[in-house]
Amino acid sequence: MNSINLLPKESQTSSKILAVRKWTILLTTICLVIYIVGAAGLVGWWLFLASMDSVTTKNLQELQTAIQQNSATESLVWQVNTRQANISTFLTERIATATIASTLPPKDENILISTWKYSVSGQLLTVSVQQNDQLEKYTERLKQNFPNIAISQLVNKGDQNWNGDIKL
Amino acid sequence: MTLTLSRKSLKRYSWISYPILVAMLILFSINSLLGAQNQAWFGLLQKQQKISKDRETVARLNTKLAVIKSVDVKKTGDDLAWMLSVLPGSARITDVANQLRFAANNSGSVLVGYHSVQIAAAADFNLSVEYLVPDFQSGQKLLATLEGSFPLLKITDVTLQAPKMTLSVVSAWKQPQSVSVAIDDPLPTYDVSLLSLKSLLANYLTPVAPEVSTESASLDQLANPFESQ
Repeated sequence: MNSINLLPKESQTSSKILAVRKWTILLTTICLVIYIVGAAGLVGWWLFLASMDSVTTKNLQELQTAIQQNSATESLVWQVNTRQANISTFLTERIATATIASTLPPKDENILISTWKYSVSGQLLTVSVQQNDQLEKYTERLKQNFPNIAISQLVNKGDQNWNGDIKL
Repeated sequence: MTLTLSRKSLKRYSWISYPILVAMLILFSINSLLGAQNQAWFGLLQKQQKISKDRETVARLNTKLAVIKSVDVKKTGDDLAWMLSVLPGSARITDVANQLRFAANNSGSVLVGYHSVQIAAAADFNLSVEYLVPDFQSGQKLLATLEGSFPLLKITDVTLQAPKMTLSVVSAWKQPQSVSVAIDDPLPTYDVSLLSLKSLLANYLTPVAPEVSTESASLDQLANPFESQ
């Protein structure tokens, strides 16, 4: 259904302008209120942060001063801790050469250990035997503790005198 | 007539200045907050992050201060003194020589001589030591005595060619170091590891006095100084 505005043309325009004015002012006011509330929030936040910053900085300075006043105690604790770490590291890096030496089979009447060289890179054992097969038996015993054993050199130094170099 | 009309229209449309002013105000404020030059918004965010970080630091410092105040200074001082007795703050070659001699006497060997290979400026020194050992078993016993009695000696190299036995020995010592720590670094807790270190060292037998007679020394004369700690 169509309606007919019977007002004169000028009045119609004026009425439209009034409506636009009304809505524009309303919307502007709403925006302004939102802006004021937002701005107040921001300012409040800024004030809150400034106050918190001041309090925290003051706390921090007080605590730093207090800790610095106790620096002698702190230094003592750190020294104990560092020295203890030094001892532990030294003990950890210690090589149990005595234990390694003790794993070599005990004195055998047929075997004479003439040289034992130990270093971090490896061990070399020089033994003297009367019979060649005694050396084989001995290396079999050594294999229990040193699986990568290898005879690097075997020299016959005369009748019934064999020298064997064994890499452990 | 024209002037009156113009004034009338001006008055009629004056309300437009209200939204224009509000829009300008909002735009100006947004520009102040987010504009490249002012960056007030980012400044606020940074301040909040700084406060958050500072508050965490305050919490850490509070904890640290409480820990520092709970430290028993006398006990810690005793612990440090004990540590210094175990790991000296300076190279003590005479003590090490006595230890080497003790091991020789205990294993029936003879200490022929020793010389320092390297003395570092602030820690550990290396010695080359020569013994005379009657047989391989004595050499084993010598090593066992050195390792079982002196925890701060480290044997790095052995050449046993009976009767001559040459050892490379490292003796530990450490100059007191300055430790650089940040103020909010937590205080280390060492009680548990100290106990385990003490119990570990309690397994070693060390001579009562560093001076050991070249004539007689046996395991019966050993006491364990770590046991009472």
